[in-house]
This record gives sequence, structure tokens and C-alpha cells, in this order.
Amino acid sequence: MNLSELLKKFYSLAVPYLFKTQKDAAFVLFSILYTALKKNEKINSSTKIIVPKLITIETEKPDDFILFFFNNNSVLKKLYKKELESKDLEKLRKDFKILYPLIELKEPFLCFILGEELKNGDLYDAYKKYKEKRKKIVSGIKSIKISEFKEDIFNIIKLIIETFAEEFYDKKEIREYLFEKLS
Amino acid sequence: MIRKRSGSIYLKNFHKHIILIFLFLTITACVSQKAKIETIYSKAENLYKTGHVEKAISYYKSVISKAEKSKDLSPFLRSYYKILSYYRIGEIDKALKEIEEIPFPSSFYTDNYLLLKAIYFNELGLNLISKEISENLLYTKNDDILEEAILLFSKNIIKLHNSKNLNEKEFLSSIKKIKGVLKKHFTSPIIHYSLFSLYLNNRDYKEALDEAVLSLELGIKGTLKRDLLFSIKYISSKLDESILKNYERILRRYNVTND
Repeated sequence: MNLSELLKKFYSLAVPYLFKTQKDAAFVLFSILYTALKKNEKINSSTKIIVPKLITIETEKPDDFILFFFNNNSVLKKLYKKELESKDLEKLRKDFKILYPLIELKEPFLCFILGEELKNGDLYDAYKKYKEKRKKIVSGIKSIKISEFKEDIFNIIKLIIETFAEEFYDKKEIREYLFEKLS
Repeated sequence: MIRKRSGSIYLKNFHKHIILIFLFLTITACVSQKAKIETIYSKAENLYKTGHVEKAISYYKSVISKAEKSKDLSPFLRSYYKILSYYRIGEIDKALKEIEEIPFPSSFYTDNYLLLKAIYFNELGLNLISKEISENLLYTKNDDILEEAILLFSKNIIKLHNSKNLNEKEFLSSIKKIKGVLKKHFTSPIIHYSLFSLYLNNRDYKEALDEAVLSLELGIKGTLKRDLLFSIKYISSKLDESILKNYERILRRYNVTND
């Protein structure tokens, strides 16, 4: 029996009975149930509960798509020069799953996590602290705050990656360490 | 005697009234508690989508604590709201654990329950089970669940197809299934997006572009929209000039020309 049926049953059984015995109480109950039944139209639709919009985009893209993504970004193209030349798709695909949502999809949670360090221009630090920060955020420590800044966050990311790429251009182990931390 | 009898009837009725009112109040309390939590969750979602993640997190946490403390919510709903929020704040393990233990709900919420289970199996990499459940949800009457189910269904199809656990015939039949749903829900940008991702994965670039354009025109938003815009750039690099010429005006409007 759903809520609507339940209320209707109350209404049909209780109200006539009460009219016979307790008129005053009957009027009170009648008005309560009447309002509830009218509201019930809404109640009926609210038996639909919020549906989680949790399905994220599929990062399983064709190999060519992944190569296009890295080649299309001048900084990533430089940073991943060796992998692109050797078509190391295993490595590229692994990093694509992090970089694509961050750079092209602007995934809110990822941007938030990396926001402070990105603003300070320290991507390395952002990566390093990624897991630790995430843990802190979810456990409710308020010390981490994202400053509101109006500039396009992804231009900043690109700028930082560019700086970062210049400095660590061929230090493969550092790059691997960073992405290991991030994934 | 008569007075005494009527007095006892009055007392009996009084108890009945109290019970009736109590039941009524219990029902309305349950409904209002659910409404309250849903309002907070919706606020969190809006904040999250507009990039106010820190504020959103505090709202998601409030949903978790309210659901935990609530005595009026059913065990299913209590878990349900916690799962949605755990997911959003990145506590995937906790969300999955809750999904494992979530009790089977009343008939109202069976589809919501199945959707969570499909998400769960997808997270575990059990794509075939997740595909089976999400496929079953393609017949739901709840449009929101339908869209989520289609997204999940296509994700599973892509994974199964790429890992060679789904042959070409089955892959094409899945596309046909989604197209069948599209007949009733042509204006859903999400369904067009799902078709786009399947076509893209199968390197049917022209079809993928058509579906991407339709999805954009029907108002797709957020990360899905950004995925489409970038994908169109990629698709443009794959299609002949002669085909692209027909799309020139639209692509320029979305600023996705590949010049």
C-alpha cells in the first residue's frame, strides 16, 4: 500500500466514524487529512527520490583520440615527446585518464583539490600533496581553502605545466612519481 | 450507567484519535525528513557544479550526518543518501561498502536500488553484470534513472567491446537498443551523448558527429558538453573536408573548428 492509498483508507474509515462519536475531533482530523490528501499529489511525485548523477564520462577513448589529445596541447606534446614518438599508448592512456578530466573536462573536484597549488604555481607540490589533501578535505579539516580567483584555471594549469615541463622536461622518473601519486 | 459507558467510549475513542494522529505525524515527519535531505543534497549539487566544491562538501557531509541520525527515514533511504554524498566527496570505498549493505527497498525505489548496484559492479570492473542491470533499467519510467542507466550501459558496452568480451554483432545490437529508447525520448541530450560515445569508440566518425551536434543542440551541459566539444575537434581531424563543409556553420558556432 502506498502513501496515497494509506491516507485514503484513513480518510474513509476514520472520518465517518469520528463524525458519529466526536464531531469536534472529526472536523480537526478531517481538515488535516484533507490537506494531506491534497498535498498527496506532491507526495506521490516525491516517491521519486533524487537520482544520483554520478556517472562520469568514459575515458576509454580510441588510441587516436588519446594521441590527438597529447599532440593538440603544445605543453603536453613536449612533455610526452618520447611516449608520443614511440606510441607508448599504455603510458599515455594511463595519464590521459587524469589529464583529460583535468585539462579539457574541468572536473570540479579535481580542480578544487589542485586549486591552491595551481594558484601558487606549484604543480609538483599539488601532486605531492594530492592524497594527503584529499584525505584532509573529506575528514573535514578546514585548514584547506580554495581561494576564489577569476582567472581561467586551465590557462594557469597550462602555464604551470609549461614551467614544469621546462624544468623537468626529461626527468621521466619525476613525472612517473607525480602521476603515481595522482592516480 | 449511561454516563459511565459514554465516558469509557470517549476514552477508547480518545486513544484511537491519538494513534491516528500519531501515525499521521509519523508519515509526514518521514516525508519532510526526506524532503529536507533532498533539499540539502540539491544545494550541494548546484554548488558542486558551479565549482564551489568546498561549500558543496560541507553540504554533502550534512546530508550524511542527517541521514545517519534520522530515525524517520527507512534503512534504504538512510543508506541511499549517504551513498550519493560519499561518492561526491570522493569517499568511494565508503560508498561501495554502503552499496554492498543497502537493504532492498520498497517498490518505489527499486530502480534507484538497481542503479546503485549497476554503478557498484561497474566500479568493480564487473562490466557484464553492470551492463545486464543497466540494460534492464532502459525500461524504467523514471527519466532521470533512464539517462543515468543509458550512460552506464554505454560505458559498459565500450569496456566490453574494447576488451573483446562483446562481439561486433552484440555491439551493434546495443546501439539499436539505445536507438529504440531514443524513439520515446528524442529530446534527451544524454541519450544522444551515449550514442555519440559508442559511435566514436567504433570509429564511426560521421555518425558520432551527428549525435554530438544533436546532443549540443538539445542543451547538454557540464563535463559531458566539454567532452563533446573536444571530441568534435578530434572527429574533424578524421573526416573529409567535403563532409565537414556541411557542418562548417555549426562548428563555428560552437567554436570547435580545427583550423
